[in-house]
Amino acid sequence: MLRILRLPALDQVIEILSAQESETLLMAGGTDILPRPAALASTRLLIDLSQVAELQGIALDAEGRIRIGAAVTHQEIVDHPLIQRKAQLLSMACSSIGSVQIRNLGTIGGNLANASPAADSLPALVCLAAEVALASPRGIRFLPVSAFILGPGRTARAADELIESVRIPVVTGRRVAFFKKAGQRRGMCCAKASVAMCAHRHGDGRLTKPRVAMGAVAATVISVPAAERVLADRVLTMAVIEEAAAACCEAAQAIDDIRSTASYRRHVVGALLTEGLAEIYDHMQDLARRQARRRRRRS
Amino acid sequence: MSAERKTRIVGRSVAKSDGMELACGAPLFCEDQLPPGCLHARVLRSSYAHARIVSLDVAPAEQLEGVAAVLHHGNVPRVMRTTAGQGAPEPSPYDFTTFDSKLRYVGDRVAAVAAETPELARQALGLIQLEVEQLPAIIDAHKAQAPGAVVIHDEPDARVVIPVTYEPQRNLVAHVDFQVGDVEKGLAAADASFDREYSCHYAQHAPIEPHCALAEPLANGRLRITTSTQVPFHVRRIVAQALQWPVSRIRVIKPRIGGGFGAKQEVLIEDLVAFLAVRSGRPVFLRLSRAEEFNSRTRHPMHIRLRTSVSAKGELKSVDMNVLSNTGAYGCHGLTVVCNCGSKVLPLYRWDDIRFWADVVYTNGPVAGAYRGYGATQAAFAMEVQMDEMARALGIDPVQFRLQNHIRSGETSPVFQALGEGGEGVAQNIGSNGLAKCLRQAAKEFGWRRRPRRQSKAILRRGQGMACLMQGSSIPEVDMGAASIKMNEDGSFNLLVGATDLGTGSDTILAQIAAEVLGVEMAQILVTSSDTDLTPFDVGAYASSTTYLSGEAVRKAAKTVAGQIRKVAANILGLPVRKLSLAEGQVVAADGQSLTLARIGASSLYEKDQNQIGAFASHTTQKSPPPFSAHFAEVEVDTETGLVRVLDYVAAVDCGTAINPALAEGQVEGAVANGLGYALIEEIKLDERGRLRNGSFREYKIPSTLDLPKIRVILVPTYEASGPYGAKSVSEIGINGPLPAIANAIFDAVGVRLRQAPFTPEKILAALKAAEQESS
Ligand SMILES: Cc1cc2nc3c(=O)[nH]c(=O)nc-3n(C[C@H](O)[C@H](O)[C@H](O)COP(=O)(O)OP(=O)(O)OC[C@H]3O[C@@H](n4cnc5c(N)ncnc54)[C@H](O)[C@@H]3O)c2cc1C
Repeated sequence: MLRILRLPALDQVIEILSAQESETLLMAGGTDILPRPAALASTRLLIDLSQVAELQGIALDAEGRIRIGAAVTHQEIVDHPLIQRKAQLLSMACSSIGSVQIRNLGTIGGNLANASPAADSLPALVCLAAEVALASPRGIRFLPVSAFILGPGRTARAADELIESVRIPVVTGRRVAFFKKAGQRRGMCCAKASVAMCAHRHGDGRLTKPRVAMGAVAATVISVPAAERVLADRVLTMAVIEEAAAACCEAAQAIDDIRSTASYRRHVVGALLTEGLAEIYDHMQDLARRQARRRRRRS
Repeated sequence: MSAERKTRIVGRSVAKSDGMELACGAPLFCEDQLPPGCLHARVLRSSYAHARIVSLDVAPAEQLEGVAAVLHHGNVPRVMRTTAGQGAPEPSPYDFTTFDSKLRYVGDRVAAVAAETPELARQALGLIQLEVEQLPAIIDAHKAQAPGAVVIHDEPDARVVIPVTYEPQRNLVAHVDFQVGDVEKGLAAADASFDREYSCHYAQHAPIEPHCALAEPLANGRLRITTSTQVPFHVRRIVAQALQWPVSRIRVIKPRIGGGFGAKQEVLIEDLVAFLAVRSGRPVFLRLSRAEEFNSRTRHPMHIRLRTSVSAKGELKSVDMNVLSNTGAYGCHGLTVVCNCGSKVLPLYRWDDIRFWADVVYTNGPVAGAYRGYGATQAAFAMEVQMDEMARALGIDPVQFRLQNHIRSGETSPVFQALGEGGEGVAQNIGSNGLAKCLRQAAKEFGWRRRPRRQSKAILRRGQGMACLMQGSSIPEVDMGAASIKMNEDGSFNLLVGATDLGTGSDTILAQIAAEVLGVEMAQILVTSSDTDLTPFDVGAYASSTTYLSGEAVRKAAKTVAGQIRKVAANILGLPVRKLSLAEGQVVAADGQSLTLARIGASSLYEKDQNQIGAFASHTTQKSPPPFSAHFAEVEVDTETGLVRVLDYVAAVDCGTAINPALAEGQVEGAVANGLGYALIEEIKLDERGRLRNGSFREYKIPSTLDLPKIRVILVPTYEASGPYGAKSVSEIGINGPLPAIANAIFDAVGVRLRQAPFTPEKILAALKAAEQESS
């Protein structure tokens, strides 16, 4: 018999987890678990996290980082003004997940814990240098997302831990960002490949502290330091974009599977990066033209 | 020719008669009707593509508490037959029995269990011990006829029941070959000739509701089967055949069903629940899992070589179409689908010489069957892409090229006579033909050749493509539909039809036809359909037949009833019958006198010359008048990601009179969406051992609303004199357009010809790369 416990408070969940009952499974939105009857078959106790008070909410934490509760849904993230202003990349990534119905149920904690190589929030979180807060009887520990995700479906979470929240450092200044995804169709599908990018934009057209990460082209989400090096402190030009795209293709360790082929994936990450950077390039050209016009008017 | 008359209800988009109850979630489907004590069935399926059963031990399953019956080849009589739901004698080979000792594809039946719960049934399957001898498997259709290829149907009792070619020892399910004129000469002599190969892939119908069926033993020794089917009368006949029972002991009812698209023109599970119910003496229900549904029936993958020739002025000369069709492990619909490749595509244009030849082969792949379009989809792809290629080579606008060459009203094609349901067909002259209007109106609405073009160096490139289509309306001299109507004392009518509404709205349009003739509102027509005990015979919902064929049966029955009503009214009023007509629920006389139908109904049942007003009518046809259609598509190809976005789609269709325009438009929209999925996204993939790699909606995607452009449908009214109120058909034709229209639009955009569907980003990039390498 499967028991389902809907708990209101974090310490109750921790208490049950620390009792080390095997065959216990955490569930938040259920959008990964419920379509997999096999996972449920061996489960005796399902702990529903969706109402745990401490896992809710989006706000700044004591250290000034954005704290997103693990049970916050993708749609809440998409709609939240703080995210839109300070972590727009995450909002872009979450808006490409599934459909409205899935986004209303699925959570950021679930997307992380599920650790799919194709999970859409992960490249964004990696670019944003997000940390995962893990709660257990020992308190809370923080791990960078890239250290938390170990492999397909594998994470650094201990059996008595749960994801409490995600923390994203707030950076000031003008930013550019994009999330691009290639799928079998436009909605309700997993990525064949995805690319996330964010950077600081300077008045002189330079991008600094660029971060690039890719999904579905390796066993885990990967960042692309080679592409970041190409972009860092450079003014965006078509040549720079091409070089960065080539670095992405190079870094992809893609495989053939039912959704696509290795060669397509390797190629398309470059195309996605190009598409995103070209949009930023156009945007910056626009800005430059407008500035010039303003200057002309003033003089 | 009967003239077009003004109609009251025909031609109006009245609400679908079952729409509200469906929207409100009324318990109308098969699974809503399980009786108490109903057992649940599950099927053990082969995990081998080709194997012989060496031993099968079902005892542990039989001994499991809660298991009521276990069926397998050892305890069910061997009766060779076909699962294809076609008229008898069927054109499909008898190569199937309920359970065989040989397994021919991954998913073939090994055993079936009925138990108290679905979980117990599943558990019982796990207890069955199966030992097999594996055989070499053929997955690639091109290898089916190689010398020394393993014989998939080596059983001596596989046979055909109509005189057609069938050589299972060569894995040959069917062979067709006809020629009019001299194609080789015509190809050699013409100004320009073309020779290309095209291929189409496996795809699944993906109905919302998988196959499900309930069999209930009745106290009087009969069996009642409630099933999600397109062919209730064929289910009755074929289940009787399997059980070796008389047809009279079986009643089949089709409740509301959640889509079929051809997958349910098949007697796929009804024999199982029937046997299990008979064995256990209990009601038995079976619903296929989604994984099983994906492996239930598919579209025939085909390889088509098309050769054509044309004069410099753009007159088509010769055509040679050669098809290799893969029917999978069983031959259901193999012959007739391939015949349709010729008969629904070649007559569209005027040719001097025509050859059509085809082989249908067995493989150890998924079983192909009927799927909306029924072979026309695959062949129209080849033909319409080649038409585009010809037009471009000659420097003629593709629309102009078609206008110049298409078949006209009053003309015939030798193909009609040559190609039928396996054997010869039925000669016919084209009656109504709105194709030229379709082409002109759709081109105008679409803005053909007036759209801005992107420069050829851009990453996103737009292109436009178009295609012309025809289908048929019912199978001439084969299909039969019947209807009966009786009148009640309040002036309402029971309309009983064998026709099968699979969500298409046929109950509604048949009621519209009756209401039109009888001069009453829709609410006065009470439709009962698809119950073999109650309703008259109908072949079922396939071959685009219901409106054209069953609709005419309804019209005839209603006309007879209208005559009876006028006779009763004439007696009451003391007026001659010819002075009376039916309108607005009344019989009206020329002099202004009138009688309500309620008055007439009451009189006929209770008062004077008591008599049940009512009539039967049947209809068969000598022709299969084609609906015609012109499709236009605009795409945007991302040359970096290979992604194709369909920006705009216009489909103009001549379906004769649209009895219910909203429902007709819905059929076209649905068919186009269905076809866009087939063209761009959908493909069943097999591994080297014949297993489905994507038999789930997780991997097998169909288009969602986000993937679809606005589909603009134009109904081009014509009047088909042989159909009810001038109607032809509309349900299948639309699926044939997207493959060629999109392929042509992609060519227009990026200059590469895709001849292997579907047009995935992976393929498009590969083609672009190949073109680049060629040009450099
Ligand atoms: C139709 C459909 C479309 C989808 N499309 C996408 C898509 O486009 N992109 C994408 O990335 N994903 C997609 N998904 C996957 C899924 O929606 C996401 O991964 C979602 O974020 C999962 O969140 P959840 O709350 O529903 O997880 P659940 O199913 O509740 O749980 C998933 C896993 O996380 C664990 N878990 C949940 N919360 C915690 C916690 N706080 N601490 C520790 N472990 C926890 C659970 O034990 C389980 O192992 C799709 C799913 C479906 C059904």
